[in-house]
Amino acid sequence: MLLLVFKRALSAIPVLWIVASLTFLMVRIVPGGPFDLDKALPPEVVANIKAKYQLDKPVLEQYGIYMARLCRGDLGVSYKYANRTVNDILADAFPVSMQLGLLGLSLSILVGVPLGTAAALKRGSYLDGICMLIAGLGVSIPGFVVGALLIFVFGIWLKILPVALWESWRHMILPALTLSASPTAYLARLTRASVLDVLDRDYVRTARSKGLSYWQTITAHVLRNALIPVVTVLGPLTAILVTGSFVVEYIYAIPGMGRFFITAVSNRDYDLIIGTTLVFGVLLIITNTIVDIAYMLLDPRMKVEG
Amino acid sequence: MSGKKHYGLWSEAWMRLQKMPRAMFCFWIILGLLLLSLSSWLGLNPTAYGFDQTGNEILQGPSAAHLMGTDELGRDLFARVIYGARLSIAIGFSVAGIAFIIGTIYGSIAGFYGGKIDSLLMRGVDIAYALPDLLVMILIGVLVGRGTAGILLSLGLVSWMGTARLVRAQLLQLQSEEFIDAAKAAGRNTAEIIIKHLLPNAMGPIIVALTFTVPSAILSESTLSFIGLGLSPPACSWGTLASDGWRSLRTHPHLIFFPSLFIFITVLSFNQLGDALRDALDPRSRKR
Repeated sequence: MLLLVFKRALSAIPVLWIVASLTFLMVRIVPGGPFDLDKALPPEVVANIKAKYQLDKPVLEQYGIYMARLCRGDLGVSYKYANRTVNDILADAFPVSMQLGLLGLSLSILVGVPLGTAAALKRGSYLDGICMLIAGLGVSIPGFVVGALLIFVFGIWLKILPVALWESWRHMILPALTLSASPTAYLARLTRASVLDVLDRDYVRTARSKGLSYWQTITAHVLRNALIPVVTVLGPLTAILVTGSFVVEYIYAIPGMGRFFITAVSNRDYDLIIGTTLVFGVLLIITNTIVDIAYMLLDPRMKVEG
Repeated sequence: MSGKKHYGLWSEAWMRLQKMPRAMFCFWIILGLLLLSLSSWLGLNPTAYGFDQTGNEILQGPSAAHLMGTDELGRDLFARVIYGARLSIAIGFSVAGIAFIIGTIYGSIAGFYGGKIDSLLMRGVDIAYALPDLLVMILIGVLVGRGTAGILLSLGLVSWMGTARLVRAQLLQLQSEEFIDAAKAAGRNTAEIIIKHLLPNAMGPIIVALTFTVPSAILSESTLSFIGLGLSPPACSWGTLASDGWRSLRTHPHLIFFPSLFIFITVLSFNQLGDALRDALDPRSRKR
């Protein structure tokens, strides 16, 4: 297992290098620079600012400077948030996004998996029908619509929950609910299909016939096997949560990475764009590695290639 | 499988589909939306107002004169939502088309040749899958601009991987069939074998996958436009309408409600039809 982690860490370096280079190239090809918005500035001042951030040098030289700094763990400076380094901004924004993401993830697992299991065990019943209806609606409704609905009902109509910022636990309820809506529905559908599939297997019949009770069979045999596909999607699920958090952070004015990324793109804040992209990349590589380790724990027969 | 049996698969699937009332309901809704979008492209307007026709009655709630109310310039929201279908539906189908072309070519090459080429190409798919869609779309959008063409390209580039995987898996499976050996023995070249023999037999699952690509593209476009990184006014899609409405959620919630409702109904219909189509084309999965 340690070997797997080591191999993944090693193979992550070229991947991150490619991501950094591509993003570097992209933001510089794009028309429009970081100081275009300040039209009132005289050209000499713009030239001075560009010189300060070394943006007047040839692109290849800028690339060299950036990569040299990156190797030392320095992600550069923000042009928009004066005097703040990208490391600084991300150190503030990352924990917020992380908190939101973990809340959303746990909520969707805690609701989605039991819902899907219950629906499968009571297949064809009203419970099944209702669960699948909710799940069907959940995957079809855009995140911003869920957000707008929740804000309207709880924030504007009932006035019981705050609808913006990230301060106390009460601020976290609506964003976490919004973020978890679509993954919950997705997990419920997946769990239901997976449990139904396992229920038909011979080893379940064997377990029952050797005298195990219904619940023992469900927990020891059915769920353990049915959860493998659920674990598989945790990787893509993280991607969904990341994407979702862009929207959620935008809607609820949460100072997380998604929000900074969106404003950085609009402002052409070069280093902040690349820095955020890199952090997302690292995050995804780590999750995929965790998923692979979880595989090995759930099913020792599985051999994961490094 | 002869040509006759192939025809049989589709007509049989259509017959099964007709026995599912919910799926047929969704089918008619989608057909209606398609006609709506088409009529807008042809310059026909089924509503009483022009989509950009301003008036004095601003920010009104739904009424008999304005079914969905009016916006801050007095424009009839019903006319705008109907007109918005033009772009939203067109984007959904175009992206599915792009995903179909890229995914089929990519997947065919991987599936037909197999071996080293296959594993190299599939690694590429893995990498493309691992990046968050919205991140990629925003970066590509920044690169090629945020007009309709930019949106189409960036949505297409994040939507082809599923089709590629599917086509590859189908082709790998079909390779071992006797009729492929026969075609090879008869001296058919690679392109002919893929286009005439392999792909037609893999069409069922591909169509099902495309049915799911359309709604996800519509969702992505509206989400991008909503956070201000997709289409922007004067372009009129359900996403830009919802984005406009978001700003006045507190005072005039009808402005975000109706565009959102249309997005929701469209996506739901496509998803339901896709589920039903999958069951109809594959009798083995019907028990789910």
